[in-house]
Amino acid sequence: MATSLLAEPRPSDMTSRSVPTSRPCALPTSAMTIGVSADRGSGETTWAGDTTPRSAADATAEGNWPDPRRQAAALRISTRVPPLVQYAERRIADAEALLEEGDAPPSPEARTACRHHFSLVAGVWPSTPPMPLPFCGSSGAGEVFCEWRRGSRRVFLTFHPNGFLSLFYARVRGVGVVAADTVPRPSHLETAGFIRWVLGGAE
Amino acid sequence: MSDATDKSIACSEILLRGIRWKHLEWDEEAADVTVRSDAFIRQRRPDGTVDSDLSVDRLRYSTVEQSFARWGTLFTKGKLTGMPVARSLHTGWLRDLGLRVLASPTPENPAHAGIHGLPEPPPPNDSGRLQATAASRMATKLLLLSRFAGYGRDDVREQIRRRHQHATAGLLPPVARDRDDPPPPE
Repeated sequence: MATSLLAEPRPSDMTSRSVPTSRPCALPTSAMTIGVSADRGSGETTWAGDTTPRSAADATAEGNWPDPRRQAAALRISTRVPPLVQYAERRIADAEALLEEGDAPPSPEARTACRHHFSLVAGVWPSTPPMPLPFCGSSGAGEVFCEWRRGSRRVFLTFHPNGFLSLFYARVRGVGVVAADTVPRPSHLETAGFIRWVLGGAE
Repeated sequence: MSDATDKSIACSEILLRGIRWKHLEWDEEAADVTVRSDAFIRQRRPDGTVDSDLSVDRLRYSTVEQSFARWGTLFTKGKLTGMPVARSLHTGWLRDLGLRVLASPTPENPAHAGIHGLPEPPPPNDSGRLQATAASRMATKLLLLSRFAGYGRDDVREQIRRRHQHATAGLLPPVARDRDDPPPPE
C-alpha cells in the first residue's frame, strides 16, 4: 500500500505544507473574495446564515471566522447559495424520495455538514473552471455520499450520519486501483484540491 | 435444480447484481446512466447492523428478465424503488480479488447467491481510515469489473436524465445542460 501511494502523490495543494495542521482550516479573506466571483448569479434563493457558522460557539468549534468582524463580512458576502450547495440539497431531497423500507434518510448532522463544507469549498473555488458537480445521494444509512469521476481519477466524499467527513481518492488503471487512500476530516481546502485533481484526470 | 443448492459456483459463472434507483446517476460526459460506487459497499443499516454480503443472481438459473421480475422496478405507491438496472460480474474475477461467492438459494429465488468477504463499511471516526480505504477501493474495483446487463424498464434512462436535469437546473453552463436537448427551432 505504501509503495503504491508513493507512486501517486497527492496534489501539491493538499499536502501538509499548504494546509494548516489544525483542521478545519480557517478560510482566508482572499477566499471569501473569490466566493463572490464564483457565484454565477444562479442562486435565486437566499440562504443567509447557513453558509457561515451560526454562532460564536459554532465558529470556534469549526475553527472558521473566529473573529466577529470576519463573520459579519462573510454574512454580507454569502447571501446567495453556491450552485454546489443548491445541487447537493436537491440531490439529498431526491435521495429521501427514493428511500425504501429499512432505509434511513440523510441525518440532520450529515446534511448540515454537507451544506457547510460545500459552502466553504465553493468559497475557495475560482470562477474558472466551473466546479464539476458530483454524483450525490445516499445508500439509506443516514449518510450523504458524493463522488467525482474524471478519466482515471475518483474522489468519494462521505458525510456520515454523525456529521463526520471522510474523503477517499483513487487512481484506476484498467479494472485495477493503482493508488488509493482516505483522508479523515478533510478541510474545505483539501476537498477543493482533490476536486481540482479529479479535473486533471481528463488530460 | 439440485445444482442450484450446491454452494460451489464455477469460476465461469456470470452473476447479476441489481442496482437500485438510489444508486443511479446521469453521466453528463457519457450522456448515459451510470452507477455510483457506493452501490458496491456493504450497507450499514440504521440499527447498526451491516449486510453480510452483496446479493446477486446466478445467470445459470435465471434470465435477466426473471431477475428483474423478482427485484421489481416500481413500488405500488408510484414511488421509484426496486432495481431497474442489472450489472453482470464474473465469478472468477471476484475470486481473484479474494472474495467468496456462495450460493444461497431461497424458495422464491433459486438463483440467489452472495458475494462474501467484502470489507466492512468504516466506523464514522478517525480510526476508520484503513477500513474506509479498503471498502471504497473494493467498491471501485467491483464497479470497474461489472458490466451493464440490462434495464428493467424502458424509461430508466429518461427517468434518470430528468432527475439530473431537475437537480442541475440553473446551475450548469447552458452548453453542458442542454447537450441532449433538441436544437431550438430556427
